[in-house]
Amino acid sequence: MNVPIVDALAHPMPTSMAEFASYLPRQLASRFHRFTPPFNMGPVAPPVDEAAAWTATEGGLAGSDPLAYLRFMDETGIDQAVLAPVSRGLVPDVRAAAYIAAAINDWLAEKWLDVAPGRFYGSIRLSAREPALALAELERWAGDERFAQVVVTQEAVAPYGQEQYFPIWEAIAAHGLPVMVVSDRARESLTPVQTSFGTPPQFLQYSTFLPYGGVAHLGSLIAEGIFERLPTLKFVFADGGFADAVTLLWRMTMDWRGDRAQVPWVLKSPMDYLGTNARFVVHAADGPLDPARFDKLVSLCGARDWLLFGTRFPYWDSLVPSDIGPKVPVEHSPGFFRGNALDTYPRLVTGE
Amino acid sequence: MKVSDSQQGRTDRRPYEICAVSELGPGQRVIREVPGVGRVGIFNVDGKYYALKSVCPHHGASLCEGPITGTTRAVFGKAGPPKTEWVRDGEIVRCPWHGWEFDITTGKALVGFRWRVAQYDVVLGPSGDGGAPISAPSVGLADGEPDPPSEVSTFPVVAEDGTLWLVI
Repeated sequence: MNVPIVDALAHPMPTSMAEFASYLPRQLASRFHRFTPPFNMGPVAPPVDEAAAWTATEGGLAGSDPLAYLRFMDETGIDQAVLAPVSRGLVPDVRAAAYIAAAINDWLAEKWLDVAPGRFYGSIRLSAREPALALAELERWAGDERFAQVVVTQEAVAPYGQEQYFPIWEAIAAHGLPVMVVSDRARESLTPVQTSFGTPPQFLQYSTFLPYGGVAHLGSLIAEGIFERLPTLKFVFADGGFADAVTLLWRMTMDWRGDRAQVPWVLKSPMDYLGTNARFVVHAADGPLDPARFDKLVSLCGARDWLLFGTRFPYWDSLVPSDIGPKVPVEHSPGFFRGNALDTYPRLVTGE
Repeated sequence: MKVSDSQQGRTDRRPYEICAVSELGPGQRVIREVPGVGRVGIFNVDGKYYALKSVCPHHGASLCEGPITGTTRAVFGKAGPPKTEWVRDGEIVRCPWHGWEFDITTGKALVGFRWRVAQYDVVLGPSGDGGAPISAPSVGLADGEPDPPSEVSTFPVVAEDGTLWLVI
């Protein structure tokens, strides 16, 4: 790989729950033992001895050592990384959710972002549950150029196109930042997450259907006209499923031709918002294993300009550039490892 | 009656009797099975006549038998979600099968912008202005996927001696 690569999705972890708790306000930290930890530790590199060497961290959780990740970057040709800490999904208490988001931001800024300026970029975690709290947290960080995007959890009480969230997206767009939607993979936790088909009981089931949550948010954003009101706003979907998005938006496009009058603010074919306003991070499970067929899938989906490389460090389903490179040849998709990310994240300083 | 259409270079066009002018008032439509053409819908929209071939480019339904209606337009305000405004009442025909909306006055689909039913000019009186049928651009939908047939023919309509004639 000759191009300097951008990793659009890495998940830094705290070294311990105690470390993370130290960033929470006392009233929350002191009650920590009473409820689910606010940082998802579940499906990270299980079991550790089967994880790749670069996820192992001496004396801490996998993914908790910035220097270990930097070494991995150097070994694999990754120049810059967008760090998106996971959280706890849908936290029922909106105040607690806002505290947890703020603690993650404080922790990330202090423990990671100054380790490698210009190589590590952060994400402003927001809880979208309560717009006023989200806006306050956004304003606390939006001027800090070390942060390249906003992250909200995929788990939500209502799809993200609905009006209650609009002030958040409007403010984010005004700052010129993209929004990443990432599942916190909290669905196996004690907090059941509802889907239209009930509550998936095991990791196997919720992991399988993770992409659909992101696509459902995207369909909502399109159908509610958010991208017509905020034409520069970009959403990045972190849980894979780029081909699923094409399939489902093709379906939405079909129905829109007959139902357009219900949503006159959708001024173009729903498919056409892919790329201009929606980007997807590739997932290890996306598409066929055979490189030629995978490349064909990318072509059929028209995804060359909106598919981003991301490692998902340090998850068990992470990718290294050499895994995915043969499936997305640079000559066919020159933006996949770098250009698409730079177009998505204007704050990444390239020196070019 | 002899009608020529120099714009098309055709001299073989012939009239087909539709109905008495008085039978097609504003807001009304008639459907005629025209020999050599097929089903054609003739509309009176606020006193102007339009004729569209009654074949939806989507799946071939008899488009012109669908509801004559208006449509919605989004009004984007400074604050709050966009509002819906009802516009073009009586100028839209909605396909009875899948609800695609077409502009009666142009034959164009309101969605996709790649879709158009062929339209026939309707001419009032023997000296009326014929005009050329509008052709649809041929634009692929996706990589290598051909456009479905996306055109219905349009015809002039002539009113003479109290009778409407379709010129085919």
